[in-house]
Amino acid sequence: MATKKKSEEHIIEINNLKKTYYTGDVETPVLRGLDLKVKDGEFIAIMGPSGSGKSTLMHIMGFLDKPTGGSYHFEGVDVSELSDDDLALVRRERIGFVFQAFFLLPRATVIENVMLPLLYQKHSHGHDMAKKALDSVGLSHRLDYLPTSLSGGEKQRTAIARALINAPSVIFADEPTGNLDSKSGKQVMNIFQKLNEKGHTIILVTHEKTTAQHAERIIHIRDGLIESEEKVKGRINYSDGDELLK
Amino acid sequence: MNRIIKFVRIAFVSLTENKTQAFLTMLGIIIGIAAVIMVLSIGRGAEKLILSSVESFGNRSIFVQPGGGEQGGPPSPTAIDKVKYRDYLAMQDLDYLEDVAPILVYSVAITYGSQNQNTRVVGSNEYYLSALNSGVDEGRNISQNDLDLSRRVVLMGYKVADDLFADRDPIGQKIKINGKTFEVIGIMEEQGTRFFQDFDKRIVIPITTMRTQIFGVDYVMSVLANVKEGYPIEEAIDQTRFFIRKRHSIYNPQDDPLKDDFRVVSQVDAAQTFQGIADVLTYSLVVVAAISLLVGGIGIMNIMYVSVTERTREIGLRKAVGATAKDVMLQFLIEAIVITFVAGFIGISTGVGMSFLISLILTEFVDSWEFIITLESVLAAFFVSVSIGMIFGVYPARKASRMDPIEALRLE
Repeated sequence: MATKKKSEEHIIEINNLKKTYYTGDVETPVLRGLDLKVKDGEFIAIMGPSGSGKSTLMHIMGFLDKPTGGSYHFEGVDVSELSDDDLALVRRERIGFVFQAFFLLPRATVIENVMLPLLYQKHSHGHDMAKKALDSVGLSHRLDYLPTSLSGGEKQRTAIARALINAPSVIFADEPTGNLDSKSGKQVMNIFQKLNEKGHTIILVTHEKTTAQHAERIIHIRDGLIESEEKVKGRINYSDGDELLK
Repeated sequence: MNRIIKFVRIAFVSLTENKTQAFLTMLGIIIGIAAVIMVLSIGRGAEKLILSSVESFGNRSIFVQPGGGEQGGPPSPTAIDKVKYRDYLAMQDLDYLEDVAPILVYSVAITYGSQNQNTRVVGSNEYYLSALNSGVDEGRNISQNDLDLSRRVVLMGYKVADDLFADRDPIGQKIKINGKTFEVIGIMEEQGTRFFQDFDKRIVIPITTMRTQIFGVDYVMSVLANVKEGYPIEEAIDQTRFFIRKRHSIYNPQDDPLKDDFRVVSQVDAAQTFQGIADVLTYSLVVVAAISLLVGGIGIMNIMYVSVTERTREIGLRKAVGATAKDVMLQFLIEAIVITFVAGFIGISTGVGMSFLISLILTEFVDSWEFIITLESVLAAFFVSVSIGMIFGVYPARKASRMDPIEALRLE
C-alpha cells in the first residue's frame, strides 16, 4: 500500500463498477458500470435519492462490501479480489467510518468507544491517541461519560474521533448530520472540513443539498450510474472566523 | 495474546454490568459443577470409610455367610437361615482356622433403672473381639464357662455404657435385656463405625445364652474366623467351602457359587463389594450431574445466541472498524468461556461448602467420616466448565463472526 501523501494522485479509481444482488432467481442490479476517481485529499459528496446505489457505492469503496464486476484500485492497488480478512485489514488501517446513527457502544465510555478500533491492532499508546482524537473534535472534557449522557452532536463527534484514531487515508461519512439539529450539524461539518484541510480524504454520502455544499465536488447518482458531477460553487466554509468549536 | 487479554477484560466487565442476568445464565453450570464436587467428595469419603473398615479387621479373617453367589454384602432374606449353629460348631474343628466366632445379631430393648433403650445385641463367643481386632477396655471378656453355662453376662460398647451409667462404674451393674437380668462384665475397646454400623453402640452376650433365652434360632448370621499363619488364605477359603458344601449335601462339582446356599468370603472380598457399591453410586450420581451440566451448557448457548442477535449492530460496527471474522469469533468464544469459568468457580466454591456441611452432618451419624476434596475433582470441574464454554460458545460465536457488516449496520 502506498504511503499517504497529498498529491494529484488518485486514491480511489473505479472503473465500470457493478454490484448485483441475487435473491433466489431475481437479479437486482444496484450499480451498473460506474466510473469514479477520487484524488488524495479530496472532499467529495455523493448525492442521490434512496435506492440510487449511493450507500452500496460507499460500502464497496469502504471495503465493507465486494463488487460483482469492474475494478477498484485503492492507493494504486487492485482490491476487487481481496479476501474478507484482507478487507478487514484495509478497513482497520486505512478507513474511518462515521454513520448517521453514531453506532457507539452504549456501555463503553467515550474514550473506550474511541479506542475500539485499536482493539484489533497493536498499539501501546492507545489512551493518548484517543485523547488526542477527542481533543481534535472538542470533547476532551467528556472522556469518561457514557454515550447516553451525550447530546447528538457530541455522540457524532465521538464517532468522528473513533474514525480518526487509526489515522485513516479516507473517512467515509454516511448521512453524518441526518440525526442532528442544524447547529450540531454545522459543528460536525466544520470538523470534517478541518480534517480535510489536514489531508484526510473525505467521502460524504448525503441527500441534503446544504450538507453536500461543504464538499469540493458533488457526485449525483441515479439508478446505479453517475448522473452528473459538479464543482461546488459558493462552498460553505466555516474555517474563516467561525468559533463554534471553541 | 494482548487481544485475548483485552477480550477477557471486556467479557468480565460485561458480566459485572448485568449481574442478575449473568447469574441466571450461569445457574445451570453452577448447580452442575457444585453437584459434581459434592458427589465426588462424598464418594471419596465413603471410599475412605470402607478402607478404614477393612483395615479394622485382620487381613487373615474370612467369613461364612448365608446365600449363594460370588459376592459379599447382605444375603437375600430367603437365605438368611442357611448357615447353621452346628456349622459353626463343626468349623471349630478345622485345623487351618482359629478364633472361630459365630455372629447372631438381634434387636432388643434394654433397661437400667428407669432408662430404656433399643439396641442391637450380638450373640458370639470369646473370639468375637479378637476377630474384630479389638479387646476389652475394662472388666473381662466372655469366657468358655459363660458359654458352657449360658450365663447372663454382657459386654458393652462404651457408648451404651456411657448412656446408661454416666459416671458410675459399669462393671457389675445389672441391666435387663428383653426383661431378663444380665450382669455387665466388661466394656469393649472403641471400635468405631464399620461398614456403616456403629459398633460402639452394640452389646455382646454369649451365643448360647442368646439361643436359649433371647432369640431361639438354629442359624447364625455369619461365622468369622482367622486363617492360621502360614496357611494360604485362598486355600482356606476353598477348603471351608468344600467343608460346608459337604455338610449341606450340595453336589457342586463345577464349583458354581450360585448353586451354594452360603458363601465364604475374605475381608478383602467384602471390602471390594462395598467399594463396588460406592463406586456405582458415585458414578451414577456423576452421570446425573453431567446431564445437569449439559443442560446448563445448552442454557448458555441459548443466552449467547440471543445476545449475538441483540448485539448485531455492535458486531457490524466492530467489523467496520477492522475486526476480522476471527476476531469476532474469538470475542464471543472468550465471553462464553469467561461465563462458564466464573460459573465453574462459583460452582466449585458452592460444592466445597455444601460438601463440608454434609460432612458435618454425616459426622453426627458416622464418627469416622472424613471431609475430602481432591485437587483432581476441582481441576476436573474447572476443565469441564471451561470446555462447556468452548463447546457451547462455538455455535453462537460462529453466527456472530459470519454476520455481514452491512446487514448488521443497516438495522436501525
